[in-house]
Amino acid sequence: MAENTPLVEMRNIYKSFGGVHAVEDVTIDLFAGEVVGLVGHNGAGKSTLIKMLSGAYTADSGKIFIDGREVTINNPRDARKYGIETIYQTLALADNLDAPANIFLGRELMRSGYLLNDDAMEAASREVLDRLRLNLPSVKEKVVNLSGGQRQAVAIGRAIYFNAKILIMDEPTAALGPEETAQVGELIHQLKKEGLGIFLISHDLHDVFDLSDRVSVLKNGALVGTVHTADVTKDDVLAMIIAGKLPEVATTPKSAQA
Amino acid sequence: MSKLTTQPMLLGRSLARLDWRQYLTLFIFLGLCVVFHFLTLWKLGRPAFISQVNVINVIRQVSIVGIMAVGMTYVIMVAEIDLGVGSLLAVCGMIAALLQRADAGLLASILLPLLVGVATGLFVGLLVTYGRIPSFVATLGVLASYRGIALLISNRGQPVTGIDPSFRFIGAGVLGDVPGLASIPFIKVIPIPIVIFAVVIAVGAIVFQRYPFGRHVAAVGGNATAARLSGINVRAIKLAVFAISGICAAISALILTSRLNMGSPLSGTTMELDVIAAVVVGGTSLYGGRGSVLGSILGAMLIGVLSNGLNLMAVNPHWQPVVKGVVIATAVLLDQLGRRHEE
Ligand SMILES: Nc1ncnc2c1ncn2[C@@H]1O[C@H](COP(=O)(O)OP(=O)(O)O)[C@@H](O)[C@H]1O
Ligand SMILES: [Mg+2]
Repeated sequence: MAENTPLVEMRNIYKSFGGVHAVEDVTIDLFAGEVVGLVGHNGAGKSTLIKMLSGAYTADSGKIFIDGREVTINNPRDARKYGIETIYQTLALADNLDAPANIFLGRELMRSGYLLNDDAMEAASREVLDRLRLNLPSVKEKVVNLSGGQRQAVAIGRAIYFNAKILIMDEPTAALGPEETAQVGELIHQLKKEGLGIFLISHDLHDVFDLSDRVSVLKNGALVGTVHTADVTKDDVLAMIIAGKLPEVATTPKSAQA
Repeated sequence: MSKLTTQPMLLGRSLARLDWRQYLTLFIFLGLCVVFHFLTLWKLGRPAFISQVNVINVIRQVSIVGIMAVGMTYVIMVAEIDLGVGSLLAVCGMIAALLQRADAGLLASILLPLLVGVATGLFVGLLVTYGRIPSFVATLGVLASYRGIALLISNRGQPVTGIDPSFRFIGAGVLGDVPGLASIPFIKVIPIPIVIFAVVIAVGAIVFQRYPFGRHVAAVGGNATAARLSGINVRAIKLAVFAISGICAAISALILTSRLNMGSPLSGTTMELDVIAAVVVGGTSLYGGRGSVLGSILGAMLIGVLSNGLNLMAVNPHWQPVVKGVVIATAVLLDQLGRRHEE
């Protein structure tokens, strides 16, 4: 992979719901081993944009490139095929099932071709949750009985077990306490070191600024701009979020520079 | 691993999977059996309740509702409902009887009703998924319109007779009628409806617990959005569960028609309620996501034993719906309390 080929590029993406232009002409990109924060007020279009990458929505127009090649993502299955995994703030887990069932939901391990292999799924889940340093009293516990941090770890476990290259985290810490938020932060560092590209979404800049290499700011469905966090202050980015005003040092998406 | 060792393991896992609600149902069921045994012994002076004849009789009676309860479990697991099964049973039974009277042959008389069952289920599934009509409404439509169809294809509401003796095997036959089994003690007296019932339970329970499809059904019931985001085709799952419910109703229709030796346009009236009651008493939540096929069978057996015991005791039959109602209300109440406890 060439140094300047982004892992993901979403180019000129549009999406409306009825009369609402949720996403208008947005272009963002993400490189391997990089964390890109996606920020903006509630309703700015962050979730909608990212759902077109995860396959939950399809774009009205625009192009998506993975490793420089144009792809079509019509459903979550397509997204997974390209190594894209999503961790949602809510609605991500089936509460009535246990951790292994959730981790393997939709791509269960099988025995003799057509029967569920619960033993193998349990063992693999233990392994992956260990890697995340999550100690569950029993992995057979229904996830409804787990804490917010444990549930998030199960969701992340699901992503990394299947060797995600691109991780989308939509408000991953919104439901968590400070200690659990710090845990998720550590997880993000570790995943980044392993070479994953991560989109980190939040309506609260404080959640993402320190974790991100770059931030892309959305306002009313449009991209205000993308900046390197090393080049700007939090206040600069807050001005982008609130006023839609670009600071002096603002950069365009990396790939557009070349 | 050999088949011999997997089967007991399957049973062990099935039992391990039951939760306290189902253990409670099991406990009440066994309690009722003991109570009725001694009550009938005391009242009639002979073991009328736990006798070979009566046990076989109860299971055979339960098989009609029990088979439909297997299908209904799948439907309720995804938080939908199928109110159409009673009327669908009547239509499928009428079709079987009419085909028999027209000498269409055994195969056609079995396959066509099954086909109608599946097609009806798929149609309901389409209304619910693509039409976005609540299943309560869509299947209420089936309940009304299929009863009308059953009456329309009858001769002014009269039952259809003229069924060939070969067809009677399904509902009135015993294993002893099968060549080679006639001389095996016990086995030879087992009615064919019980055999069909057992097969439906086995297939229903194994698919539910051991196949990805069963897990996906549970996931859709627990959190449809999460299921969809995990790449599960939620619409396909919903289509499938209604089709399963439809085919179960058709199987019950074949048994009932064969057993009564006629097709009655009024058969299955209010039976949807008995089926739903069995599923709910068996610990499956009307909110979806929690339940089991074996629980529903337990529920069906509990209600069946209750009716049978009250009959044997010669209790005024008008008490039966009252008692049934209390049992169902209690089950739903327990479900509610359990939910509150878990939250
Ligand atoms: N499924 C939907 N149907 C209709 N409108 C939607 C839908 N999803 C999002 N929107 C609208 O699109 C806009 C962007 O929403 P969203 O992407 O959820 O914002 P964010 O994640 O930045 O808070 C909002 O105005 C929201 O109301
Ligand atoms: Mg959002």
